Amino acid sequence: MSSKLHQDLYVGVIVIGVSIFLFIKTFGLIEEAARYPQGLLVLFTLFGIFIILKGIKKTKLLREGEELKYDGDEAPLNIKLLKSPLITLAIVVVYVWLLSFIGFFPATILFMASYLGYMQVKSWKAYVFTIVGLNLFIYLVFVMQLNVQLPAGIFFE
Amino acid sequence: MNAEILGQVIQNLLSFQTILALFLGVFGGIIIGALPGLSATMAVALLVPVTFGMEPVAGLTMLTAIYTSALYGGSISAILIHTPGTPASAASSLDGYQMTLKGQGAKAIGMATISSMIGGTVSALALLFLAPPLSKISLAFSAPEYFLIAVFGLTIIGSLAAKSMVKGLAAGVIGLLIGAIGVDILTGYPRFTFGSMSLESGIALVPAMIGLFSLSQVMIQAENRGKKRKKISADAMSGKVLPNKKEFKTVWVSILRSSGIGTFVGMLPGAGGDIGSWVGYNEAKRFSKNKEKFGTGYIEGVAAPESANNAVTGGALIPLLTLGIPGSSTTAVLLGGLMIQGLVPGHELFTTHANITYSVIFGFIIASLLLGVIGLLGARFFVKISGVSEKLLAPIIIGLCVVGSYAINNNIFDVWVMVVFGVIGYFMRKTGFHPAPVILGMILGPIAENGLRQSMLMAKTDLLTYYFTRPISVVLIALTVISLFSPLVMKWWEKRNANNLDDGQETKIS
Repeated sequence: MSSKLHQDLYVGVIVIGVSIFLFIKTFGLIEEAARYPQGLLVLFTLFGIFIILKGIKKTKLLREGEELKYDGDEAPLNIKLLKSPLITLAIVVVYVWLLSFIGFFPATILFMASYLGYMQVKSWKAYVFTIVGLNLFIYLVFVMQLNVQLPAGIFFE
Repeated sequence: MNAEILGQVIQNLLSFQTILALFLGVFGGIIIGALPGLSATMAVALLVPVTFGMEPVAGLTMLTAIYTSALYGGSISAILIHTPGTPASAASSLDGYQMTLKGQGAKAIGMATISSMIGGTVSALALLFLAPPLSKISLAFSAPEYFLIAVFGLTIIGSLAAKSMVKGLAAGVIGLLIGAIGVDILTGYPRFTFGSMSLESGIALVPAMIGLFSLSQVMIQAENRGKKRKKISADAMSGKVLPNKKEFKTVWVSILRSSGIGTFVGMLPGAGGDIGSWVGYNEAKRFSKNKEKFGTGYIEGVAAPESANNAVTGGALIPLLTLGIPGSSTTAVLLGGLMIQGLVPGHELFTTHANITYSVIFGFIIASLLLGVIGLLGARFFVKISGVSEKLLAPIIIGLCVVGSYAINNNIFDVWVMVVFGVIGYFMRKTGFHPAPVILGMILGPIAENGLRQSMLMAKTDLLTYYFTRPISVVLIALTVISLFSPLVMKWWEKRNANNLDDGQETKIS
């Protein structure tokens, strides 16, 4: 028998955990301000319990060797599946962090070049067209047309 | 609508910004719909910041044009490579792809374009004539009804957006909880701010929308890194784009019927383009003299779902503009775009802001017609566009996510909000939740809370008894209960479609 647990069990536990944490946070509020979020959190906990119950059912099926159907974007999470999305996230985090230091356009150029490299793009033309195209679009629409003051960074301040 | 408003509408529509917005909206919408993995919802979320700085008429016209054009754009890959660009195009792939295999890909695209144009225009006209009288219902609304309409809106989108109703409703509650972050307006107490000043004004809607729909989508696409995808063969677009007279004669009744069906389905809260196109397809098959030809590459099998899925757009805008109930994820995001422009759905849209609303509706009619012209003229170009690699699109989308989140308040904090919501959106989607109810919860949360608190003051005694003494409240409670049972009806529809699909395949084999 497999010891595998369906991911809904974890989801349900997280939902209940978050509900309890936030419920405790409402204790510092006056009753009038706390009542509405407390009501929502009770509801959220109930949904968490339902998700756990469903998760128990699905775990039983998994252990019986049945293949479960996943709809739309839903998929069993594992390291192999999460690797690329998490690396993407890490690159985005570094990009956003760099924005304030080196400015929007240098950070965007750096980000795009490294992300295209990560996505195994080899054609130099693709690099040039994508990077120049997006930066030009952002400059014309957001800077020129919408007057957005994008972070200038250390080079242009 | 009187002559004075009509004059203002014409003036608004003839402005350079609106004309440009219309062309860009239609052109951009078709491209986004045609691109792999990009949806109308994501396009609207990504472009709300661009429209924020525009005149309301131009901005909202652009968003509605993107909405209808992206639905059409999704049919290109459905027809040519059997991969629907949007779920609403799945029905079109049945006969459309068979036509491509027969060397009639160009004709299938042409038929899809014309049908989408007619469907969109019919529904836009329905919006023009039905929305103003229906908006009067909102005049009878008071605090209890506003609370119930928020609950109703959340239950329909929650029960239909995700496969699991519990997860759909839980996502709605997540949105309501996020909507509660910040200083409570009535008491002045900060809630869930954890000492952060930036959170005192609450979570900004636009960065949250962009993160939930766009960044999460890029993360999902990143899963395919290193994998090869289906390519459109060079001869897929062979032959003529325009169908001949004889073919038109066989499909025009189906197009009109499906346009009506699509508009009606769109008006039903929660039933989006995917359901509309399947109903349109099934009804066309039921009424057709050539039932056996469906599923084998029959032109009517393309015309019916395509006119129906575009007709859904105008229909879905009716409950959105009149009552503030979005029926699908795209209209939920559109509601955000509307609110950002300072426009609140209801009767005021057709009185105080009549010149803006009617301009947007007329703009929507023009966009639907323009879709046909641009779609037919640029068919071969759009087919090429749909072959662009996801690898190149991903950094472009991320760049737009960052600049769009920043542009709303010129604030880096909002960019971090977008990133956090991107992560939340990704994990929600991978675990069977849908992000649409979260956005709706964020929008409707404050309305629901104010409505509830005010009705508690109005009730004086028992709140439930008070609600049941108000006729509109009773209707809304009944509708909420019905919406909770609607997934069962949907399951029935899906079963019926699956049976019809099997019939079609059996016919093909025999």
